[in-house]
Amino acid sequence: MKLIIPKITFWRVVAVLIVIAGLYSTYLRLFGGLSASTNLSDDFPWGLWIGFDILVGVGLAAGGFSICAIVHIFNIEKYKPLARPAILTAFLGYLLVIFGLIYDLGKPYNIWHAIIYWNPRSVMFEVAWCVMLYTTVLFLEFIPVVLEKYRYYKILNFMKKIGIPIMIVGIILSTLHQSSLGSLFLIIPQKMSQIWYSPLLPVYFFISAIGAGLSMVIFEAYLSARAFNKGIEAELLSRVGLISVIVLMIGFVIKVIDLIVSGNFTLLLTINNYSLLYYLEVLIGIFIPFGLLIQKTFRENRRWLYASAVMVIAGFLLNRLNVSISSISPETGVSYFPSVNEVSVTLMLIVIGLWSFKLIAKNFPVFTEEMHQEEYEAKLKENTATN
Amino acid sequence: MVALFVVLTFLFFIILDLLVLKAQGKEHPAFAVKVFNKKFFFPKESLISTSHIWLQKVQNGMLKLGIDEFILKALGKLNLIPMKNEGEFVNKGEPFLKAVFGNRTVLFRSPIEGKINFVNKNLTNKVVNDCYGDDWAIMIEPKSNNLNDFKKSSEAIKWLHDEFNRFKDFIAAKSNEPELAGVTLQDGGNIVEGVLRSFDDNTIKEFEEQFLL
Amino acid sequence: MLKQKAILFDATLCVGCGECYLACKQANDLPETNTDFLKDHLGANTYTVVEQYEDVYTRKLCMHCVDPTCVSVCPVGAFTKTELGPVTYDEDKCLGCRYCMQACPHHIPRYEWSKVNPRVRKCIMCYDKIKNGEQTACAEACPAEATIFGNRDEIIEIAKQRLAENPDSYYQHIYGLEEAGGTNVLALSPVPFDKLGFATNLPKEPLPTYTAKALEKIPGVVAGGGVFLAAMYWLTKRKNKIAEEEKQSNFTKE
Ligand code: SF4
Ligand code: SF4
Ligand code: SF4
Repeated sequence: MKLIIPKITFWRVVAVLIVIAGLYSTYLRLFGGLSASTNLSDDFPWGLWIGFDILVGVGLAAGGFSICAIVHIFNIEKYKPLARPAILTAFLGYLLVIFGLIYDLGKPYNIWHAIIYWNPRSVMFEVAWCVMLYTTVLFLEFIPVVLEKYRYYKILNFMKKIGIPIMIVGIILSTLHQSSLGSLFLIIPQKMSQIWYSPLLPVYFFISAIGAGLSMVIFEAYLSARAFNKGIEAELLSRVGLISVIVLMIGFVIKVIDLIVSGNFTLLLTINNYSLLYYLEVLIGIFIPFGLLIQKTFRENRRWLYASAVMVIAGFLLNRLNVSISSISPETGVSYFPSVNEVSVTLMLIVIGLWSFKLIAKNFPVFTEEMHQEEYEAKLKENTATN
Repeated sequence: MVALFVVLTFLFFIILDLLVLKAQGKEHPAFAVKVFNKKFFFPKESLISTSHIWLQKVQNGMLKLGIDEFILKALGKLNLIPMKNEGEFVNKGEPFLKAVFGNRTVLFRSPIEGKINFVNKNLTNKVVNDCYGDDWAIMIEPKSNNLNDFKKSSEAIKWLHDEFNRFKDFIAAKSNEPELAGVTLQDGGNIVEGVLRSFDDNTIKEFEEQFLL
Repeated sequence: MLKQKAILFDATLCVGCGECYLACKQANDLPETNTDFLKDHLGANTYTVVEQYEDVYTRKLCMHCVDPTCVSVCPVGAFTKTELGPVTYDEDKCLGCRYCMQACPHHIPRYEWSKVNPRVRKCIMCYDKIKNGEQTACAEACPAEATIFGNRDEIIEIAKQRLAENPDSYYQHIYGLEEAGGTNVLALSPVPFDKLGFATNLPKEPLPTYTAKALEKIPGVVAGGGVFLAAMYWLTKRKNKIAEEEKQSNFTKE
């Protein structure tokens, strides 16, 4: 066997450093508990791991079900080349969310309790079930890629038949899940700034997840291009970008009407940390990208498309962290800032995600289009003929 | 604060990546405008050598030489620098032309022996664009008139197609980790023009050995 | 039906002696956390504190809400609203998601942050004692009748009586009658309650109704979504097919 020494590149060095730091933090988390590894406190029981790893992680994985719906339910076949990478991203995203949860839960070894102890009144219960079920669905949606590589056409043929019901279940689960992350905050109306609090939070979470998830598909295509030295489906992606910003704009319009009807828009007239954060969020996350991508010239320019996707994601990050952390006023005036360990674990999870994606995409036909059922059947005949 | 911190960290990594690319003299592959496709053009009256140099008969038995479209697509933006002066003699297989792309170079070997009569002066500091026309490289007075080794018209196009396929496999092998070399390209041929510039020097060297000798 | 129990805390009578604080520590086997009880805070080992706001003393402890937020948010049902009124906690079920801490309107549950096997901690209204017909330890220990224990309906009557008998020494409000659906720990005060650090911006209806409104929609989303998606699939598929056939026939015509 040849000894393989991977080439040293800038990002590999960074990634390895991050993983080393992350492992050290993992050690602290395991043996020292949450206080040794995080800055969480009784005043701030939820921090970066919930706000970023869970809320953002799940939200950005929304590209998976959005593209899936476009391709398989609305049968707009031309988006097919985007489907597999998007599903893989979503699948890995959800696995990382579970991974993140294991760090964040005080008693992660009790995570399975959600299966046996039911409390249907709890939004968290709904979230837990959606995560479990949807991860399973994503697995089923992704597994054809693996089966194709090993030519299990019989199973593939069968999977094709149950494919559409699975997709529908997946889309419904995602809808519930994305929105329920917003519902989590419905129960603290008195703790949150009314700029963000609204009975419509679940709706906003759903809409913004679709919008940002689609931008994530673009972002991820650029990452793949970078990692594999390949081109991007520029024409398709620029359409995706347009859909993304339009969806976000719709969400924004609903939000504005909501603010006016509830009278809370007055909160935006005074300049303070809250209103500034909100302005920043909509400016970066919605207005600038919308203004850019609505114009054909910017949309079809690869750099601007990339910049817009990055902005949408940045705005999405702001939104989720604003809702989960910034908008919540601490009882005692203590504020929260994530510890080095929380940051390093988060970065490590991202590195693991990117590595897994790269590894899987290299070994399995992720960037090829899914075959049609007829093709499977043809292959099957071929096989039996030769045997 | 937390929100700003996270967003700034995200943007920091994005910008850092672009800077890293810049420092390495590469372009983000996704920013490259054109997909390297199989459509090749080759002028009817020209001949192609296996080192991707075309030859064309001009007046007085002279031959005009230049690089082909394949090279242009594989390397992306490039400058050509002739390595010989007018009046010098060049042997078959001797390096006579240099292409500079990004901060890398490859050498081209002469497909024929002869005396260099003209060097294209317009090439200096010019990004090659019309490789079969204005951006020819040299004119040579060949020692022999035997041009049987070279292919033309449809045969030349077919050869370019073969080279393209070979190149795709080459890229597939190189863009993967060493341990995974040998798998075929997973994305159905979506390589971009100028793809070579994002590889390291060793790969460029190998490219030269496998495609330009 | 068992009668719901309740605690009444009367800040006008509290002398700030800290007997309840000590009694609670003892009854629940909690280690000492601060030599000066007035400087202590609620914590993993402190279920109740006595706080001083100018010349008024007040207590903090779990309010044992009538429709408790913590019970409704816990994904595994680790909190229980018992028939007697106390809200109890089962550490064996708990996952440690800390949603209860995030959601509690009174900012009560505390966490054992430094433990590898952490629990949520809060006053449990001495459930084991009151089950046996006893009083809570804090009520028993109070020398000034500032903390008293009894059936909730009777306690409310006493509170009303006190407000009526000495209208001048009280701020005319019984905290816990209707805050977020009401609580089993009620409080009286000489000053407005926000001056004593009580949550006064709570809605009247119990907070769980806010999430219930969203959760109610789930069956609708599932059913409606399923029908809509299936219909869309069928329609678009058909449309594509017709378009395909048209193409075909055009092709053969030519
Ligand atoms: S005060 Fe908080 S912890 Fe106590 S019962 Fe009410 S919601 Fe639960
Ligand atoms: S931390 Fe424990 S008790 Fe609190 S909501 Fe989560 S599982 Fe329930
Ligand atoms: S009721 Fe019991 S547990 Fe609660 S504060 Fe009083 S003594 Fe402590």
